[in-house]
Amino acid sequence: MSEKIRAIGMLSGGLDSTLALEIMKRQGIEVIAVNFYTGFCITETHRRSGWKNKRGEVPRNEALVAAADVGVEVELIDIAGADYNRMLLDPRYGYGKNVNPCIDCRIFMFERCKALMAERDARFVFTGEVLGQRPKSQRFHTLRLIERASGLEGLIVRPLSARMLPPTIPEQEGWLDRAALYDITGRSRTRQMALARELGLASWPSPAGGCCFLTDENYARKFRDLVSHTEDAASTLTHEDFLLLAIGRRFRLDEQVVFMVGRDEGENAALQRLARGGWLLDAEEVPGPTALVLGEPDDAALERVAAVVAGYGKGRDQPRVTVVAQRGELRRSLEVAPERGASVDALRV
Amino acid sequence: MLLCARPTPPLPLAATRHKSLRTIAPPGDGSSTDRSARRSQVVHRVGARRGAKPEATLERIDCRGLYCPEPLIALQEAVARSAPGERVEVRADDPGFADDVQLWTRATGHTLEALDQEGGLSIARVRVAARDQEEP
Repeated sequence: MSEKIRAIGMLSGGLDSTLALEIMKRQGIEVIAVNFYTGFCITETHRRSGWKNKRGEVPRNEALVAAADVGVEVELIDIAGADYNRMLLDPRYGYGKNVNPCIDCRIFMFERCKALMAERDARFVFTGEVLGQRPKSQRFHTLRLIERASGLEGLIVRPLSARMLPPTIPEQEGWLDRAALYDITGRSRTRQMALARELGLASWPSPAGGCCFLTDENYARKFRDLVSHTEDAASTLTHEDFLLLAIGRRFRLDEQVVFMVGRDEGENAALQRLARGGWLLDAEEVPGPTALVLGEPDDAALERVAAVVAGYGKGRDQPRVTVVAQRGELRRSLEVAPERGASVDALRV
Repeated sequence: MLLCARPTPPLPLAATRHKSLRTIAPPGDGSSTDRSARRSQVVHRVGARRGAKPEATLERIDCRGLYCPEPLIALQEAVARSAPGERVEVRADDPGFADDVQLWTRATGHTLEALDQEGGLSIARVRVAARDQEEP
């Protein structure tokens, strides 16, 4: 019996990439599914804040669900870090509507796949991409550009749209049967859902659109604010700085002091978890949010944050509220008048 | 930049009958570089001596403070450096970890021997499957 052909499958856990896994498996390919962690996944952020869906469940990691359901090996790859940040802050092919460098990000991921191909003796890479589905990264010419730039020309198979694209090396070599691949294009998911039923996939997640914070307008505004206030952002900003952009209401007091106020218990816990030496503030005797201050606030700045924290708490209608500020072993008790309204809104990032 | 170390209490050692036990550096400062370094740290490796049966070897990794999917990536890395039959124990406090580790073992064919949850802490013990096996 001939040796099995091995391939790397990029798996987001959405319907399209899950279908791609199933199609490749049915073609007799030994699949290694990879799921990239960038730190910008909205679902992961919801999970870590304790957010629950309409059924009261913590959202699942859909890539793991898909790999377990289809029955393929899955590898999680952490690409968050300095190299990714450099790409993110200066993308060669620019941003999409917000701060989403989709083309550069795809190239970055395909380069990792190429390295993994060599490491794991795989012959090609496949994805769930559908021609014309996304305005920036899934147009015909963009797909070709990404292939060339990542050094994988002819070695990226898109099983769902393969018959609308030039034959790839795996098809030319007979590793794959082109006739058993598909010709799906565009934004509609009707054909994918029909195919999922035909292939016996029991369930699939709702459409993914907007699963990355970089495509989110509010996140993008905070991202630009952070970058514009950070000297040599590419080498100084960390993964945690980007994580914090997704948590709580964000305010800027001056050039170097920002603070976040949690919107629920999950965000309060996340701020405490990510405090790492910053001041944490909580009202002492009345329920209310936690705030995390980054930077070196002076006394006046710390009192201003305390006033805002008090303004978001249950003591907002009291004349004075005691707010406790803690930073490691340091502890200060601040009695402040709660601040609300336009003056607070003016600080919002 | 502005982020400093989050104080993390020392990991209480579970009672163990293994004699050889090595402790390596505690969690670091949480920077991107540090996350990778921390994940690759063996917190405790017990029973790893020449001639020992694989099942006698247990590697414990402390992933408290790391967000999903990082505890799972740490487990994946620990499994990659372990021999078939050896076990890896992960402690994680991310609420998604318990669910993730069940799905991951189902997909990869490694055995989830135990999954305990104490307060906000999940402790998963995984036995490493044989290499180059057929798809699970």
